[in-house]
Amino acid sequence: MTPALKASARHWLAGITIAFTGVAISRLLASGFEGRAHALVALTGQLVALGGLFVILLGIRRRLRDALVQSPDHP
Amino acid sequence: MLSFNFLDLFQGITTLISSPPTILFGRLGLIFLGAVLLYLGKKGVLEPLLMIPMGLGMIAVNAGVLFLDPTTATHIVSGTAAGPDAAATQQLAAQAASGHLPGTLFMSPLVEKTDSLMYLMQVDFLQPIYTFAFSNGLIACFVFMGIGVLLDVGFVIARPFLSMFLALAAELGTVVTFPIAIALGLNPGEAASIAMVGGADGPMVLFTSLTLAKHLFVPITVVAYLYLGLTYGGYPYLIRLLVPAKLRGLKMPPKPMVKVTSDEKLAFSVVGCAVLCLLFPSAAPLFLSLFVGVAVRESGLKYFIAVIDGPILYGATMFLGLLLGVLCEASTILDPKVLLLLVLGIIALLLSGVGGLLGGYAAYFFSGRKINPVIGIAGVSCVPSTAKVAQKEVSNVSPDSLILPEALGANICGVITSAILTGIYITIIPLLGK
Repeated sequence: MTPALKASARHWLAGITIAFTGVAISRLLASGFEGRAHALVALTGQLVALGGLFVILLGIRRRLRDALVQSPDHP
Repeated sequence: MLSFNFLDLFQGITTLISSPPTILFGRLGLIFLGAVLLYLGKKGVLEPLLMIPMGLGMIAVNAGVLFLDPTTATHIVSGTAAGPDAAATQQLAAQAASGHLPGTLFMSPLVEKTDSLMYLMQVDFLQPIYTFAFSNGLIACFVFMGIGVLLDVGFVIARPFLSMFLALAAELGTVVTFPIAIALGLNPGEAASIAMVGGADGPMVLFTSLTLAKHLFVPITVVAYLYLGLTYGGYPYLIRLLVPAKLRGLKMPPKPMVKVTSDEKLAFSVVGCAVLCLLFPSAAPLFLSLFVGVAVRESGLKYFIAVIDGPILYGATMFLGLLLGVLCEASTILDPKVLLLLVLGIIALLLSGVGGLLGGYAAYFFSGRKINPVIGIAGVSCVPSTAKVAQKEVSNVSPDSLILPEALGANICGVITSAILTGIYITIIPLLGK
């Protein structure tokens, strides 16, 4: 595995873990609260989950950047 | 000797003359509006794929009103949920039994009881499509599947920061219109449904209003589709108003092309679909439809692509237009809230456009004046109209300036953001009532 792919895989793993942790916070942890606290915890979980997807995107972007640097026509 | 009324031969005219003035003028006005929409569709001012069937449907349904036979009329009255006024319901039942209830042979959207629905499906020719494909959101999902096949998520993945930032900025109307609508007297479900017009995504408005404001889904969806047509005609003026020509012509530094692989796009779609469905199960049909389209495209399933891209997408669009037109029958659509919905719809769309351009300005300044601010308008998720509008406006000032890849990234991310907001609204609004 090339270093670029390794770094990308790390982002994928981290991103998926964060995303599903967010889901767990939003769907499981939040159900233990009521009223405003429920909404707040659920919203936090949703943001964490979406953040996880964003981490995956960052990983792909990094792989693209590394691939570009290694390409023969890069200045 | 039997008495014969000549006008009974032409019941479309008889029902028109005998209806109360509101319905009379409403029907005439809607016939005229249908003709205008058809004309504007043919001329390309509004989306012809929707406006031509919709306009013709509006004309036919308002012209083709007749006195229903007692059995059909009784099924319609008894199958519809009773209103608060018991005397009015009784009067309607008597009118139905005497064979003097006006109606059409297209469909009866307000009937809910199973027995009556089964009877009406054998009478009204569009009732089966309405019951089995429209009122459950299937048509909206078909359109979304088609959009998924047309989307290249690679544009988003290659520029995640910019795409997501612009898409969020362009949801200004979707977010801000909600409290405005509440302040103007709509309930949360109605407010969220009309606020979704700011997302400029027809299937999403249809899905939200069917879920949260079923009694108003006809006027809300019609308003949404009318205004979506306006993005193509109206947003160029907004761009010219808010972005000076010098900035519109800004050339962005050329970006070297490295392709996002189809494996990456597919894997991202799988994870994205799973996470979003887990977070917002109420909007899971929409997410599945979108991502199944993306997955089919990225897997290279040519036969599926051909089916979704062709018969499913265009068939769904045609019947969506036809059903929306047929739903515009004067007695169904003439609701006192329609005027308010028209105002709120335009506010939502305008605010989203302004939000997108403000996001474009923010990107312009944060990037050290390298990003063309016009890209911001593409965050409004009317795929691919707003991206094309952005490129067209830039090309008018600087013909060799290319912003389409970045604009498409924001555009596609806008679709995903609108779907997420739909999920948030239809998850949270029912909780507010508890």
